[in-house]
Amino acid sequence: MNKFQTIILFFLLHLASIFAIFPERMIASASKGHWMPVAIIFLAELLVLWLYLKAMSKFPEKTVMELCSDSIGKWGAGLIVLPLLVFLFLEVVLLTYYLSSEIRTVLLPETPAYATSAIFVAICFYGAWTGLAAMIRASMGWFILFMPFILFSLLISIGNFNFHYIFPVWDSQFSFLLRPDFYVGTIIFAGFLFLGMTPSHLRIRFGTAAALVGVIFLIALTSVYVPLLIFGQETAIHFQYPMLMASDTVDLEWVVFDWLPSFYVVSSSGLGLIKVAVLLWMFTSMLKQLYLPKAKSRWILAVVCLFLYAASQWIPNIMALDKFLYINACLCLYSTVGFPIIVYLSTLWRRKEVRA
Amino acid sequence: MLQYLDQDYAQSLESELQERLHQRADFLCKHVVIAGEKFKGYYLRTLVNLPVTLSILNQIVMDKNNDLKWDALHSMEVDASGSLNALFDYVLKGKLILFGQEGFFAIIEPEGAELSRAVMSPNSENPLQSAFDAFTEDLDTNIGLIQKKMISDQLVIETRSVGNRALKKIAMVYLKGTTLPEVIESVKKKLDENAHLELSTVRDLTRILGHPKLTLIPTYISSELPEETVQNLLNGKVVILMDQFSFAFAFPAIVSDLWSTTLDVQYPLLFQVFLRAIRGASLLLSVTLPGLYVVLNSVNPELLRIQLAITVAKSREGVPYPSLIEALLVLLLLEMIIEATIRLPKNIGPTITMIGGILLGQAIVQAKLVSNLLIIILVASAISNFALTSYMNAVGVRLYKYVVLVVSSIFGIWGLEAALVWVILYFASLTTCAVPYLSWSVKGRMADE
Amino acid sequence: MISLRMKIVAVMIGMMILLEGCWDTKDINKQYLPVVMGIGKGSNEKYNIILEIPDAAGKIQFLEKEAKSISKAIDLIRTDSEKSINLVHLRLLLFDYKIAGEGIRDIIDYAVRANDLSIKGMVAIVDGDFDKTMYHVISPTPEISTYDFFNKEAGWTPNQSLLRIWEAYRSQNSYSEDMAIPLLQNGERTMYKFKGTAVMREDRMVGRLNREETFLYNLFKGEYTGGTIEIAENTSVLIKNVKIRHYPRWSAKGPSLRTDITLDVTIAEGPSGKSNMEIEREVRKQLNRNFEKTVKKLELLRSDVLGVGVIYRPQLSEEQLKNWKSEWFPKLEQKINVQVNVINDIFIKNEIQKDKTLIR
Repeated sequence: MNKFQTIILFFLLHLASIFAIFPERMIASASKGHWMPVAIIFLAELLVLWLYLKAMSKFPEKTVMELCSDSIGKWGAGLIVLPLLVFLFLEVVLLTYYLSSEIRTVLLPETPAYATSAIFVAICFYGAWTGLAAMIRASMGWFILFMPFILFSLLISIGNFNFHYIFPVWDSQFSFLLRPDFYVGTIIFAGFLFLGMTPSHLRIRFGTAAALVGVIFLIALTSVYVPLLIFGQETAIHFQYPMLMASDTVDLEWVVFDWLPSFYVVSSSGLGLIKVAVLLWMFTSMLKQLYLPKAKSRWILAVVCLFLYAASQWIPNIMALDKFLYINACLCLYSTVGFPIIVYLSTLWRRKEVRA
Repeated sequence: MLQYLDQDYAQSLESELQERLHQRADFLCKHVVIAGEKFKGYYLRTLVNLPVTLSILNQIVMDKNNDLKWDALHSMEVDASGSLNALFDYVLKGKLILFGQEGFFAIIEPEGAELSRAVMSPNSENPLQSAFDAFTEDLDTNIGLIQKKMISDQLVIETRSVGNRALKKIAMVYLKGTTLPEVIESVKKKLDENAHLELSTVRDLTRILGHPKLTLIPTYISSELPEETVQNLLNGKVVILMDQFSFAFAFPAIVSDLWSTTLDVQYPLLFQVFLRAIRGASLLLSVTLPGLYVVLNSVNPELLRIQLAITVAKSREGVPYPSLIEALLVLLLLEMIIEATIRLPKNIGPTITMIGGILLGQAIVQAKLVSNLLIIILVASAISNFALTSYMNAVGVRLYKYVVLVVSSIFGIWGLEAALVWVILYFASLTTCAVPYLSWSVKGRMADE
Repeated sequence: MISLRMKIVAVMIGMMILLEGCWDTKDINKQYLPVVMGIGKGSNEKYNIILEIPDAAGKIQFLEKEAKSISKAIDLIRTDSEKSINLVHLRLLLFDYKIAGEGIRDIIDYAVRANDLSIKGMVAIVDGDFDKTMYHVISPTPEISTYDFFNKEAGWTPNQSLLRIWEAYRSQNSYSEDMAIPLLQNGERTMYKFKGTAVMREDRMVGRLNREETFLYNLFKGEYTGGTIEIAENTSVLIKNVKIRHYPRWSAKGPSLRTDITLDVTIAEGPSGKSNMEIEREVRKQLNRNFEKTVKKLELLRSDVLGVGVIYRPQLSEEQLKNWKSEWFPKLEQKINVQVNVINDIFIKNEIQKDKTLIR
């Protein structure tokens, strides 16, 4: 039963991307056949996840960090992990900025940026401070708290669908492969990296993970197609937050509250909190293990959070965010595709060594 | 154990005992006769019923012949060494110490004075469908009550004394095989480690068990009902009974204790599920309602439907201060009413409720000091608060409500959400007695981690 | 000692946040919550903005300003009003007839862009005297009658068209759709009178449909709940259910669409002696004729308000889709076939049998 909560956390971390950057990037990446980029992303995730879990299962007692430093030495591991660390930090900063600006636009137009992101960072700090095990436990509570809002904002607009807007469905040129937005969408992968750092009895098997990825794929597809079916592709590309706009189209008497985008923002920012907290924890524990073994991890965390806060204040506008997202996409590809492959190869290598 | 001491030593013991206890007004030394022999008896008058004890002693000894009559006394005796400190402790614990001639002395378990009340129905709880006997102050009676309710060879009862200046007897009760070994281990370890700490209040007990000092929710479940305690034992909890305390404390508390009482199992399953769902909902409501009022009223009014928004605006028309201050004022008043009615005699309580609730509530709205929607919201919050399972849990929730209120008055619905996320994280980080607070159950291997 | 100092610092910071904070706090009774915004042509400036603010007592307050842009006008209104103005509950945008003729793209863009404006609000055009309609008050005014006028759970009927801001935005960006906006005028005893539907091409009003044509428009879109069709004097049928099936084809000449509409109706009023078959036939004939007329009219207006392009989407390539409005829609041949089926779930049996038993 313990693994159940890991599964939930895995699920929530992916949902976090689905409720933030993912849908608008997917809509922007293709002008037709939007299911294709989504499907390709998820197929890639399955493959990488398989390699990653395979590598982990060979040494069930060890975390990814220990695996790396055992097989390629401390310096090698430090080099390999460095881009991953940069990615994690950038990702955390961008997500913080993205979500606090979303909160500001929709919920609190007058509140200054430093206040909304201060409370955001503070909560993430507390989450990372309690550690991964506590967050895995908390994921159940989050699940119960946010799932109604998530399902609500995903499905409430179903009455406004016009299914003809699903067409055209096929993109024979795979034109999306050339658009940078497609690669920004790969940040959804960041949700599985934490699996390499859980205590061994909380690991999940590939079968379970694959089934979960299937479920998440469906939700991701929904999140991309809800705005498309309501607005049509030509309109949806104009929106900064297409899912949010989709939930604003609903006018139903039985819904007690009026301004439904608020619920979207609530679920989106709640999931974002979880993701940022988990990534922060990963970042600090990697930093500690590989570079600063002597420092106290809570002090590292505090310093990292200060940097995170400063960095999220420093981003001037959404355009800059876009630029950073494109930069981050390269790092993301390395850390979510390259890194698991390296881990897998290094375990293979190490096994040979052990045998010889 | 009848002891024959050196006569001089016995005499010095006697005199020192007298010296140490002469400040106790109820300390007495009396000459008594048992089976024709003269003794000096030392005891505390308030704890020992001497005439009855003597007559019992005499009855035991009477029909025995001379050789056996001292052996017969064994049934009334306490094993003890003859050191001064031990004797001193025994006197304080209400034993009778006899000094005879030729250095002969004995410690007798006397008939106690009538200081404990009988087993009665509970005072602080109102069970609906359950056994109605409640714990009393006497530890042995309480243990007896539990044992009577639960006849099992798995039941383990350990007693020990804690404290330095004042000794306190406590009993640790658990079911072997049901309670997790880690839980038993951690409780035992803490009790051993901190045996020297004084124990007079419940807070001392949690300190001895090494629980965090500042917690939002109690880390134990207290109960006056043996029936409930037995259910707690069956659920895999460790129960600690304190002498002279008519409550049993079950450790550790987990999150589901917020909305489930052990007496729910007396009802049909569907009713139990329904009741628990209601309590869960009221938990959420009592935390969020005041915050939600401020959110809807001043930060995010767009959440209200337009029809509602107009009437709400109308009801607040003419209220001079911001809704946060308004809510805080009425909340303070409400808390005072709750606090005032708790200790009042039962026949005055309703009067206060009427004055506070009806008259003041009506007047405050008519005077346009607060909006009537606020009164409705706050009362709903207070009622849902008391739908929680125990008073202790309710206080924590009552406290956290203020945090939610303040944060959501600054950050609106986002603040409300952040406060809820924080409290979940807090619960997740809480681990007492080796059990994380967010566990499904304490029993068996279901607990996570 | 350090911990105590830390606590004091923490408390101080907390107090400072409290004093500093509450940026967004503005009590609801210190805000005006307008429900209707009228956008007319100003006498001096480009826009004349009128806000209608209902209150619980049933009165309506009007605020009006002129400016070159909408947000500036609202800013000016805010300057002069005693309370702050919050547009979050705005539910109806009313355009002046003249504005609609000049194009409403900028206004719709503004409504979608503004983050304090809900895009589920509705859009309508005032037909006739703009100011008179805007300032029209009936007494007693139900507090939000303007909103309920279009509400599907309250005052809406299939004779009215309805357009929400997001639909307008979608239509003006869409390759395959045009919008139809309801036309309103002040009523005598009611708040508004429904005058018909404005047919828009892109963002400009090019023509109008009358009430009957609007009903057909709604029928084509599948919005029929509670609609009645009047055939002749004393005869009308109530629509219970409608099945719509499109058969889009693509030939060398261009697209041609056949639409089968099957109506399940009950007879609401029928003169004695007329059989169900006759009524069926009459309904069918009349609807077919009217549909043909309406479709022809729309084709002449070159406005795809029926959303035929959307129906053709599965068959169009991306290139064709982009050229739909300019190239393919004018070539469209549209045919609508109506079938009528009388289901008699009413209290009276068939009329013919009744005749024999009645004594005249």
